[in-house]
Amino acid sequence: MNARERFLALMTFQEPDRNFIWEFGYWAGTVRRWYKEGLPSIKGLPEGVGEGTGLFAECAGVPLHRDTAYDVHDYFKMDPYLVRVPLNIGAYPPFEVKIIEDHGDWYIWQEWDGCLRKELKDRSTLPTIVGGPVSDRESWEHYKAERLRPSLEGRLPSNWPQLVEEYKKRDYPLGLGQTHGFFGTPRYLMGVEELLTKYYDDPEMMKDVNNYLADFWIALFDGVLKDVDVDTVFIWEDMCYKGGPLISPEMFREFILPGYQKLTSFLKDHGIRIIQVDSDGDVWKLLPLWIEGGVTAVYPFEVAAGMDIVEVRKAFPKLGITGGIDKRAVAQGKKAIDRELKAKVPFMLRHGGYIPSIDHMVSRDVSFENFKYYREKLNQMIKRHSKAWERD
Amino acid sequence: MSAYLTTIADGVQKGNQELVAKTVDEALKAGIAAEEILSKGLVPGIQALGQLFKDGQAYLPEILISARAMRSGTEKLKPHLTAKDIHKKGTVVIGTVEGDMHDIGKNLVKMMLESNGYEVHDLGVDVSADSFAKAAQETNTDIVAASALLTTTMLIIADIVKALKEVGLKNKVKVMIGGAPITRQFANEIGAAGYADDCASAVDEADRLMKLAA
Repeated sequence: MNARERFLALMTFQEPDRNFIWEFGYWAGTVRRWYKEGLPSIKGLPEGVGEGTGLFAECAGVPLHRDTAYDVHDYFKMDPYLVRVPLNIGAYPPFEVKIIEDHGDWYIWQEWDGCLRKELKDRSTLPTIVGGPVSDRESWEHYKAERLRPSLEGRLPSNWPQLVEEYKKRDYPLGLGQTHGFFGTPRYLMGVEELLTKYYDDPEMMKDVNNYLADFWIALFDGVLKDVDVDTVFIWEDMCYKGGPLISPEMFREFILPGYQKLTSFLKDHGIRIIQVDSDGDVWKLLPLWIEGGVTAVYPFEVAAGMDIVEVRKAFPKLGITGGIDKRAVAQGKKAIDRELKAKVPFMLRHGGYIPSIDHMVSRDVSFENFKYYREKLNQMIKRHSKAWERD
Repeated sequence: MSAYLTTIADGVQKGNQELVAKTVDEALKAGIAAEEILSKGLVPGIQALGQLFKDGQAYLPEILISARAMRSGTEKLKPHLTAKDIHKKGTVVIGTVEGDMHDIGKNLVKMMLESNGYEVHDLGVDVSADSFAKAAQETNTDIVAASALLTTTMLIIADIVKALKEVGLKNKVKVMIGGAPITRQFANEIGAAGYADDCASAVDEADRLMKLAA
């Protein structure tokens, strides 16, 4: 099987030849640490990447020809990347990137999507979102008219026809979707606190936001799917923390679920069988709602937030699962790695629909030695559960 | 209890800021003491919501609108309250640790502590261990509350414990910590006396630490 066939078989609970040698991603600071600890620097890291920049890896998906942590990929002989279509599904035309407030070591700056981010100037850590271009009905109407026109004009790269030709010959899985979701996108538009109170202050506006986003994304995806078929769609939410969802399941049902149902119906009508949601935190209470909304797979199941993929598999036998291996165990050392892998991976591989990976970006407290040990042990487990193993 | 106070408590719990502000005005005009409106109307309302949150029956939007409703009431009361009317439970210095810009959790904890009778000094984000210690000295604080989102930045919390020790406050000031990667076990390992899972349990934990110090 090639990687595309393997992905389709695995995530639809058929029998692949073997599982993937894939990871979710790495913080740039982690890769820099590994260079000092023995990882050969051949391709290096992209220019200007701060320590806190996340570098997506194979299962999270990377557009073709986009810089990422290729040295890690090559050193560990990972399987081919899942490739994401470089479709801009956010603001177009983009906002001017500029500093709004300068506070010495840190600033608040406006990103291309209009989102206001508070961030250290050296980009050594993750930014936090403090606001965005939408605050009320008037600004929402203005934003959608100006920046969310349902047209592909300007939203695909100039080499799109060449990319389409490459995609048509592919042996890797192809995915659609960037950082977009029915909670994730409104958070970028408004900031978290504004969004959370807006559900009470203007519920009709929030219903319009998600209804419009569903129609808008459907229109864009429809245009892309006329050129090329895709294997999976990503939806990004990050709407949970370690105490559970940021909003109640009832609020999800009222405001979020209709958008999911509309979008996933369209995708399934177009033959897309694998629809994945990315959310950190304790996602237990939302899993049934996502499934009801047509989602077929979820990642990355953060262990620090209390997620246990073995328990998730028992509760949801046909939910695709990626991740769930505790990054903190990999930081701790060999005994903790052995314990973590043994507790989860054999069970998960036996039950299918699972792609093994650390439960988020690999953090800077993970040594190269520990990561190597973890990958060797994990690969051995994958090999033992394979029908075919062509890698040795 | 007067109908005014019941309405105020209910309004805070349900996050109805217009109702709370209006009823506080009416209660003041009816001659109810500002201190009584605060302690028997506003505070029970936010406490009831905090309990619902801990029980998994309320979520962050409800916390935010409830705290907003409480603020609409306390703003009305301010001109009528003297220092002796306000029962201050304690003083807290709060911030997100150095190298970490995340403040949603920290802001929610601050909001709940203030609503429950704590004087809170917010140092913001990316706060060094020395800045926590300096602020603790300057404010004569009872508790230093530190938040961290990342597994890398959480390690800096141990420096705060050390910095407090260096300025002679180790025994006087209790350290309370929270954030995505933080656990009670980690708090114990670095010598932090307090740990909270979320903004509502942070109030319980602060109350517990104040009793320990008494």
